[in-house]
Amino acid sequence: MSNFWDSLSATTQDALLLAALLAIPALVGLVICRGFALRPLLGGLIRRFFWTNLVFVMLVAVAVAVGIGLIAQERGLRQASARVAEKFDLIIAAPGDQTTMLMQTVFLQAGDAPLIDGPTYDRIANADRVALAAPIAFGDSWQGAPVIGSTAEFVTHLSGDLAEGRLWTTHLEAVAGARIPADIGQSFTPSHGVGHGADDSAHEGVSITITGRMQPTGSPWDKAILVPVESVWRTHGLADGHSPEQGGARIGPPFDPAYFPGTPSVIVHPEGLAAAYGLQAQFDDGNTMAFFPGAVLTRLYGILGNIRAAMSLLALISQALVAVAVIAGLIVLARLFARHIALLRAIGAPARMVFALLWSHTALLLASGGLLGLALGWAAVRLTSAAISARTDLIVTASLGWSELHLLAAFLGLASFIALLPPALALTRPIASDLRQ
Amino acid sequence: MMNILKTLSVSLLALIPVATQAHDHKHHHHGEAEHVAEGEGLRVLHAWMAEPEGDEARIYMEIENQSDAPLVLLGAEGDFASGFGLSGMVLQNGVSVAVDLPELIVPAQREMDLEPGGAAILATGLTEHLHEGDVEEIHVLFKGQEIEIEVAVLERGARQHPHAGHNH
Repeated sequence: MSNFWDSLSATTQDALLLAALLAIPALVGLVICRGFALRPLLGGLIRRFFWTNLVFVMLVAVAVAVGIGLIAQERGLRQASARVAEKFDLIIAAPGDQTTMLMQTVFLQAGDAPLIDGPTYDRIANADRVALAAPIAFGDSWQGAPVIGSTAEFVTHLSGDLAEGRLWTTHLEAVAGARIPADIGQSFTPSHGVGHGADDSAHEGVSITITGRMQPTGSPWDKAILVPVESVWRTHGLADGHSPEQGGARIGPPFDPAYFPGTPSVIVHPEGLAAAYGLQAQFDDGNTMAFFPGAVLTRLYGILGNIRAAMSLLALISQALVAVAVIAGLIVLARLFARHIALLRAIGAPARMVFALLWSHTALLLASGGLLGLALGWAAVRLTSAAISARTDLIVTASLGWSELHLLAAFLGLASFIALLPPALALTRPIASDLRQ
Repeated sequence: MMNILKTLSVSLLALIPVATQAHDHKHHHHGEAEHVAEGEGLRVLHAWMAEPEGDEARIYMEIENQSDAPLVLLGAEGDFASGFGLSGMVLQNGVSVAVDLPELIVPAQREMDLEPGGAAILATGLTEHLHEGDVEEIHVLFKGQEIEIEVAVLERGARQHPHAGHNH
């Protein structure tokens, strides 16, 4: 059986799991309601106590929506952060903490980092099967936006063709991220450092003009300004990576190792995945560390995986608790229409039919609430994704997946059993006294 | 929780007879695996896999190329699966996706770690039920030589070998 299950595709497994979970309430309903035409009576119960029923449905819907929203949002955030790392195949930096360097290089979180020297960069740039080796020099900012030094090839690798304008041709030109609030042609003076401690006057006299704007990348790089790495070095009074023989106006690689001041990290785009693993082994040698951002993120997600499982379980438990609260309410509600039930029984309705009617009523409320919750959860996920995208630098595109459908189906299965309680209790009530009410 | 649900649904669908499988104990035992295997100018350490959930298993290990020439890893052979190949992981639209690799090159005097989230030897079509504590033998195929090493089966969801980083 296990082998048969494992041989199925993931989609087939998910669909079968959903069908199996939905089969539980369907079978329970079939067994209980078989042989009865309950629709007119059920319709009467719903209409007679419409607003009370609606309150119960909304209670269930909100509980289901919260559970579904949480799971879908967590997945959306995880995928959005992983999507950012896709352009950063391999990062090479001085030995240190991979997660810290990932945050600094990919997510542009401010921090200090030791530098890779010229000869080391030269070995990386000239290694076999390296398609792109771009220095990433950070540390300056403008109005809170990080100013990153790199190469024109990296800009093209990150964003493709520019959305507007052109790439830089001198060290005093820049390309803005998609969400930088500055126009083409606008000039700025970078501050030394990032955040509250940035020194606005450290680079007085330096005026850099924005000549182009990148396409949106859905990453923190949309709120960054890219400049030639030579610009960062010159702004800090360092050599600019090129020998005097190469000419003072030269921009971009190749760099002369003797005039290369250093860079905190290098982004390497290899000529294929196998080459990436070879380069990682070559440069993870004690003098430098080389790592795959995707692998670091996968490790982090692995740690978070247990939290995700706990969240799913908590969501189901909270839904079950709401279902129990609703059942308790329905038991009280049953007293309101106890007279109607007693009348039915007095005129000869079989106990099984009354049981089926009350079970159907409870199950209908829970199922309606569940389905409405799915719609509400989907709407909530859309809204929160838009809000998170607006407040962070990530493009979160959360959507409903199999997990959410499984959660809803599991809830419906559980609810079909919980719904047995109100009719079971209602049938224990004395008919005569209920008729006198 | 989804595992519980999966188990529940599998039970509900259990109208299909369970196929019993022959169990080959020839290259299989239970207990402690040897941590190191050596070849000509190379060492392979800490081979392991997590207890498989499906009919595939990703096998991880540390490969040390102690020679002055690049070492080409081609794949593996073993009795507990119908196929062995090399596999890497790439991010596609925010999701890690496995990609087949023709070969992996370990540079001279360097070490390559096959580890979760990265490259691995992929065993497909498992012919045995592998459980935590089992030890399986495989032949790791390099260009010009092959090395026999024991692969420890660790608990389901394991992320690293308990001796990872130990220099034997």
